[in-house]
Amino acid sequence: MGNGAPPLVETRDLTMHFPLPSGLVDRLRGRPAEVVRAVDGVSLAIAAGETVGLVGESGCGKTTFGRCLVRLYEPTSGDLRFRGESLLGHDAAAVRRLRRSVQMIFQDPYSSLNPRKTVRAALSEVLRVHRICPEAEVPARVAGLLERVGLSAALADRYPRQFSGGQRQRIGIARALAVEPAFIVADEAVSALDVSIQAQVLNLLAQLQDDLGLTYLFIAHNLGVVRHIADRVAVMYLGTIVEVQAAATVFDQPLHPYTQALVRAIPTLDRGRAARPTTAAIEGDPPSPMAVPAGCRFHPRCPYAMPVCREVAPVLAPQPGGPAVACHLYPGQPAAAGAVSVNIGTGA
Amino acid sequence: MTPPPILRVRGLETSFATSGGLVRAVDGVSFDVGPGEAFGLVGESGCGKSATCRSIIGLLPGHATTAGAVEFNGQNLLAATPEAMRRVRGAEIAMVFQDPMTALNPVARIGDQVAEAVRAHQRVGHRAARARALELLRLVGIPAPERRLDDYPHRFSGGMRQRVVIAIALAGEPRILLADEPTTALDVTIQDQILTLLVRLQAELGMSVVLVSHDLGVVARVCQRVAVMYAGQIVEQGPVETVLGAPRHPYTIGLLASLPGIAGRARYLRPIPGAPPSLLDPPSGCRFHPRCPFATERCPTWAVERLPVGPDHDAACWRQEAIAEESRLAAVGTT
Amino acid sequence: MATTSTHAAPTARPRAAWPAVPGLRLPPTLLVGGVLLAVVVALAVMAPLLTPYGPLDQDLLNAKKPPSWGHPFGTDNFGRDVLTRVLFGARVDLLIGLVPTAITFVVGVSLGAVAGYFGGRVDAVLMRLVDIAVAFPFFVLLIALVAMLGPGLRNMIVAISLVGWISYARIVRGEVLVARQAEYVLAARTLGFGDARIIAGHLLPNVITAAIVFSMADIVLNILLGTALSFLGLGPQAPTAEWGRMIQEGRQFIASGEWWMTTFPGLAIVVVAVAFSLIGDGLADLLRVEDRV
Ligand SMILES: Nc1ncnc2c1ncn2[C@@H]1O[C@H](COP(=O)(O)OP(=O)(O)OP(=O)(O)O)[C@@H](O)[C@H]1O
Ligand SMILES: Nc1ncnc2c1ncn2[C@@H]1O[C@H](COP(=O)(O)OP(=O)(O)OP(=O)(O)O)[C@@H](O)[C@H]1O
Ligand code: SF4
Ligand code: SF4
Ligand SMILES: [Mg+2]
Ligand SMILES: [Mg+2]
Repeated sequence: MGNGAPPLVETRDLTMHFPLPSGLVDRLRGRPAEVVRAVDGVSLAIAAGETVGLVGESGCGKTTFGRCLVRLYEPTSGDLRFRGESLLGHDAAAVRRLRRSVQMIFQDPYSSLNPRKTVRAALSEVLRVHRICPEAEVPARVAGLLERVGLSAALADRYPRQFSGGQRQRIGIARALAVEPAFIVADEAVSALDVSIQAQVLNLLAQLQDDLGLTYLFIAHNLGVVRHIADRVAVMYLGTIVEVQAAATVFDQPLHPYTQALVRAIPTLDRGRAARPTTAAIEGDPPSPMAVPAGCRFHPRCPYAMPVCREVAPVLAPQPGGPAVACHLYPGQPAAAGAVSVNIGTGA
Repeated sequence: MTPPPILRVRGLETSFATSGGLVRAVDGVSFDVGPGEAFGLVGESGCGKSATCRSIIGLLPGHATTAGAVEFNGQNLLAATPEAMRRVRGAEIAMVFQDPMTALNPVARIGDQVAEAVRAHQRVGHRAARARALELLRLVGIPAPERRLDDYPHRFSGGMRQRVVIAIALAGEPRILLADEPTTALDVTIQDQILTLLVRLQAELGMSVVLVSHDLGVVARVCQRVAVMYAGQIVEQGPVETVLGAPRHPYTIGLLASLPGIAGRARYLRPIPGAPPSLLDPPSGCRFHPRCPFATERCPTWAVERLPVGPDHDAACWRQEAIAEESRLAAVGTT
Repeated sequence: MATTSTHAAPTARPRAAWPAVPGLRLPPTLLVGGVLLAVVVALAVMAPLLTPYGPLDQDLLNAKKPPSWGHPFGTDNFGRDVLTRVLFGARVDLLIGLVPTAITFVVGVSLGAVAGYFGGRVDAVLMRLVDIAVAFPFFVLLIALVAMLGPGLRNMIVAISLVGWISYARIVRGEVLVARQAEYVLAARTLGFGDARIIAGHLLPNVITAAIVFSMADIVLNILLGTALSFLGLGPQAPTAEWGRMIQEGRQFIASGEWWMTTFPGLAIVVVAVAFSLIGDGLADLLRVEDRV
């Protein structure tokens, strides 16, 4: 990456803050509204054809980040670029065109399809709205899309409730493919599926990538799934990215203390190594995104926390060999205590 | 010799009468749980894991019928009176459910809920119950429990709530803890904490644990023995190391092969084709035959039985020898 | 939880796929209510053919006659045939039931959907309006409006419409607030569908059931409102044949034993009310998307 063509998708310091509904009293007193800092300054570049896995604990902002990318949410600040062009720009027509290239696969195979539309109606609607093909070719296109995701075209006139979870997920994928996207955000796309069905859908996603050259942001809490499908893994903690590393190495050599804990917490089948350990990988719960700790956000739970960690927020710094990590244990961090001027504005 | 089992399930059958017909959720399930042993029950959604648990503890809805035997302390729980069952429940066998968000009463203080459970099993005064509640909360790893006694559940995170639910289950000092997907609703890191807690409690209290999960890794983390369920039946049973390390039933083999992130980093997984059958009308003979790559014409009519593989290891497949041989040859061929 | 029994082979469950085959498996309540309503409508439409009298024909010599072969429902104090007036009254009363309901349904559903979908300022303004309207007792507000506009059939309909949309807006807004978070709506947005298409094509079909079912009760309510307003003299003026008005005019004769002038229009109201309630129940059954069994 880096030299030559711009990344397919790139965020720069993307933030998404949700204001909490504030009481009338607070408003009258002129208190600033509280915000949930769901995504808090994320810079991530995704190259064409690659799969980036996004992992992290519940509530750390994975879904919010994904929804910002597909423009379901209007980011609070920062920039979002697609093939080098800003998606937050003012040229409505261009934004509309770019938007089509970015699609999403949803988590819940039960609520992600309109219960009152047959599969044919749902897919045809997409083709017609975007004039993907001449009217006469719509039925053939629908059949083609269904076959693409491994479903028989004979099933097109059924309603979503007549399909199993795995089949519905395939329909959701077909719907996203209908607009011929280049980039797909898959938010927990296989989490609701059984192991044997999950493997089928993962294979389908791999196949589509091989055939169509798709790029994925694959959001999942199941690290085994991410390890399997991703080329690179981004680890998120409380609205920020703390580590980015190749999937091939991150599970064996996690750098950030949080990544290390996450990897250690994965239940493995490997009974030989540490059968039934009696200590947990990490203690405590993640803090609330409404009260983000100062300095390194992980410091209240980090076994290596140092004085500097409480004051200076680490930045995502590249490390030799490719990974990037936001932790004072590694080189490339802003100067530590003493240089007081550094940590302006790291607090609330 | 191994001590006699504390729980013996024999030929358990549980069905639900539904508008679509009779759902045979559990169909001839047998297994033993030893004293102080952690036993895992794994299988995909709808294979009858929860129905098995609920049958053991007698918490089935009215439209369910059971047959077979669940022997605990020489008593068949399926034939026990509701009165006798109430005495067993909580005091001898306790259950922890999947969703910690709905398992607690939202308008009662945590301390009161645990103390109430204590008093349900022991004739103790209010103060003693509260002291015991504090002890239990400390046991399950609630930090500074004395300060949390008067909190309401909404102030607790999911992981903390599940700890409280476990504390309530421990109040009657049960000899068996049934945990039905206790970590499915939780994060990996929190799941790891709860599983660690289960391992610790089992060791410290000498309690038996029956852990239900769809995640083989979770079972491997906690259990010594495991039973794999498919479509209402146990297809393979044995020590965790053997079942997961050298599986003999084609379903177990397929399940392990479809796990992502295990088999190196092959681009494509090897999923089991098709989907699990409906329990309204399960396939004849070996229920796995429509999806089994090793099936022969005999499988649809084979009278299923669990055949011994090794010490305390059995699999319900008549072709297991041949299959093991085939895989050995295949392995030799590829390496 | 949502995953229980999802893997029943789909082919094994050819569920009755409404709306692909409407007409099959209609709930009995819907059938009975529909037939009842059809009869009432037919009688109202064919009224001139069914009776030799006109609704306004007076026959003072035959005033206040009890039911007989010539006048099955008897005659009123002007000698008008009560059966004839009940039949012609159906036209007016169905109008009072249907027209304001149709208006309030369309207006309320659209406003509710728009407010729920867009939220923000549109929603705030609408909800303030609703709050204000709800602060007054419904009937008092209605009487005040009619009094302001002046009595009469048209003004009565206008008044009911001005107040009635609020219920629909609230029902639909509530449902849309929930449904717009559903992943299929998010999916429609990521697919770049326009807001109008999403509201009309994706949200409304999934949230409108409650409003439709409510509208059946609302028709009955509006008929009763109409008769009540007429009873108070605020509805259609004499000598229009209208059930509420007929009851009001016949009321003075109940004491002297001439029960038929009030009983038959009263029964007519009951029949129509029952018909619409049955239809409402039946629709509720029919439109409910089968749960994720
Ligand atoms: N629309 C919203 N309004 C207010 N707060 C929100 C909204 N959406 C998300 N949040 C909050 O933002 C934070 C991040 O949520 P998000 O759903 O992105 O997390 P996640 O990483 O996807 O978690 P999970 O693994 O549970 O899906 C959470 O604290 C959540 O409560
Ligand atoms: N109360 C009930 N009424 C009717 N059928 C039921 C009921 N409970 C369960 N079933 C059916 O019995 C079968 C087994 O269900 P069970 O809940 O035991 O599965 P499970 O293995 O626990 O699955 P999961 O992993 O989804 O919890 C399923 O087919 C289910 O549909
Ligand atoms: S910066 Fe400090 S507190 Fe944060 S992860 Fe690194 S060592 Fe731990
Ligand atoms: S009995 Fe036959 S179908 Fe069943 S698992 Fe063995 S080989 Fe496969
Ligand atoms: Mg999420
Ligand atoms: Mg279950």
